[in-house]
Amino acid sequence: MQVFKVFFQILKKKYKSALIYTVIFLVISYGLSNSNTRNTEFKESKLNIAVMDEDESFQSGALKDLIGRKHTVKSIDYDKDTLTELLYWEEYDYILVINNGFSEALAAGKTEGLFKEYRVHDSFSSVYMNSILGEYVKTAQAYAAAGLSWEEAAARTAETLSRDTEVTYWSDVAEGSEEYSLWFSHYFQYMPYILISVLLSALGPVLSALNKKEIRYRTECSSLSARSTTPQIFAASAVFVIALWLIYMIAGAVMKGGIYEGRAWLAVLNSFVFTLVAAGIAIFVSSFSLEDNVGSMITQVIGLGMSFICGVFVPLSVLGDSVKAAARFLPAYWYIRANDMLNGRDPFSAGQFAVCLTIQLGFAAALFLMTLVIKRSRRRESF
Amino acid sequence: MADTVVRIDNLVKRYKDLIALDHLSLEIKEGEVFGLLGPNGSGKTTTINCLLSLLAFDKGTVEIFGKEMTPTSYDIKREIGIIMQNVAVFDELTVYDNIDYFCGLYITDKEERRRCVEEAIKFVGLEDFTKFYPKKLSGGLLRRLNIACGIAHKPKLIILDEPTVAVDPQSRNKILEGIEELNRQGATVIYTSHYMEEVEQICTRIAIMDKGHKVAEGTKAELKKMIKNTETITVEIPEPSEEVSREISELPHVYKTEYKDDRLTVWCSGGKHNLIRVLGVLQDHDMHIGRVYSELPTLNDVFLEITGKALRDKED
Repeated sequence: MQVFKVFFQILKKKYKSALIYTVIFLVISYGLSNSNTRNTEFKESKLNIAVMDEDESFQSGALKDLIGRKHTVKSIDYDKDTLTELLYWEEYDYILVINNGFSEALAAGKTEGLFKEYRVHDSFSSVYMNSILGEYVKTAQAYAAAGLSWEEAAARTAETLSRDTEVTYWSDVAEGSEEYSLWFSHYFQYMPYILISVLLSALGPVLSALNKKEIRYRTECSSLSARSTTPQIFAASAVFVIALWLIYMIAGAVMKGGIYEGRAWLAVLNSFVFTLVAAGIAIFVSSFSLEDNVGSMITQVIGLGMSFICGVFVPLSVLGDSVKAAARFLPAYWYIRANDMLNGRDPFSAGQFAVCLTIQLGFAAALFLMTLVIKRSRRRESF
Repeated sequence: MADTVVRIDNLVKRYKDLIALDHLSLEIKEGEVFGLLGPNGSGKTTTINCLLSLLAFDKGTVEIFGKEMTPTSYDIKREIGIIMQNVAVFDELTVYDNIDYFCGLYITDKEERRRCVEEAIKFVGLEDFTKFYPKKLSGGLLRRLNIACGIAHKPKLIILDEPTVAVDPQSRNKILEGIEELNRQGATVIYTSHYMEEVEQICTRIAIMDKGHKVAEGTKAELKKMIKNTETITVEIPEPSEEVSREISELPHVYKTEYKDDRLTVWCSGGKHNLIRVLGVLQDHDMHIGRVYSELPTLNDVFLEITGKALRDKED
């Protein structure tokens, strides 16, 4: 078991980056589990409005009343500097000055020069208030033009503009279930990235060291048969990969606060299958015996690239069709598809779930086969 | 008569259109330090790789210890120690762990292995560096570690492929002394190099290779007898007259003379007292004589005469 033993001796020198990835992943997952709140209700925004009424007419009073129905209105009388300061310190969201002659201008059908305003440029509150004022002016003028008195026009305008719009809150965030809660699906959602990164940064360099041409030749020159060497490397890799996966599963159970149940077991199965894929990627990359810095670069490219394209970091529903079409050729896409079925983002279908697992297994098998082909072609190459 | 340890017969290795080994035949006897000498690209490493079944060859046979060598000849491999041209150690393991790993590929018994590893460490003089990682070792110490990894299991046949490349003179001497010691302890050694001085120093028999061919084979004395030159005399003198040059050229056993850079070089073939005769002519003509050298032919002279080029022509 000399090769088996040396695998772990080398791993002892290569585990640091894997440990960093794991710790960061677990800390972030723990943070998410404690801060996972959702917006499920719509609440209308209420602004703090200061009004300086220079006109003091019935029309200007009606406007103040209308604004006061949905927002907090306070009448003030300050100089310009004070008003600017109040805005700066965010005591008010918007300061409205109803110009002297507002009622006459309104009656004359004018829409310009009715108001002055002090506002934070391009802020949400200023756009919102400008919209309210514009609607008030147009609606009131429309009712007056229809022959109503200003009292009636003001009352009708207030009634029209006070109607609430029915709001339905829609969110792409899945509901989850008791067995496989939302935060817990996040834990499994990010797993492809962490599995690829950890296995490429730990398993990859160990296998690269064992695959180094000089080491390989010296081992082939020894009395240890190839039939013994390969199974020892395979066994050591399997022990490491399964141990790593178990650590993540146990950590997940600890964070969940108990043993997995129902659909959560399917997520466990899904993650195991993807662990095989990630191991396949690490083994395939290591067959090229890359230098550590090149391997690290490849880890970033594969780990981050696949995660972004396949919906690990961003939900698949947000990604464009062309991105999703390309992602179909990557294993993480099928992992996420399966996870989306489990967390309720997509309807669950046992058949579709099995297809996702089978495709991932296909990727793993293809990676192992490609590695074997490379190894065979190199076995008797020249120095 | 000593047993044959390695027999290579009619070996041919092609890389597409390039013939790396062209009907090479060699026989290496037990207890020999056999040198494979040749410039870079002459086929030395290819020969070693074919010998170890690391490389498939197109034609010929390789026998080691009287048995055909194949990739699965593990009983033969058990008796071979290989020290590669490139250092083959794990950067992640200490000196001790590296030797232990490579020794463990041959010896499974822990106690026996521990003893072998310690002896190998002592043999190469790495006692003070057992806990060092390879990256902390100097080039010379790294080469010694490479050798320790190859010999720890006490092989009967040791193959060293250019083990002194990029090594300082002190470490080189230590390595060469070590090889001689291994040979004294009973190991048969195959040593490849393009440094003729090393091969001359330690090898009992030598094959000179060029372009995949064996151009000559024998002991040092046998190789030197193959060529015309037996002695090269060099004398520092002012430019000689035509008469002096003619008299020297007409001396017995002298077959070539040349005057260049204030030095007269005289090549002799056989005979005794050639130096005295050359100096006698110069004294007869009252010539002022500076430094005088008389050199026996080297392997480079052998290579030069056989191939028409110097051994170092292709050196890195």
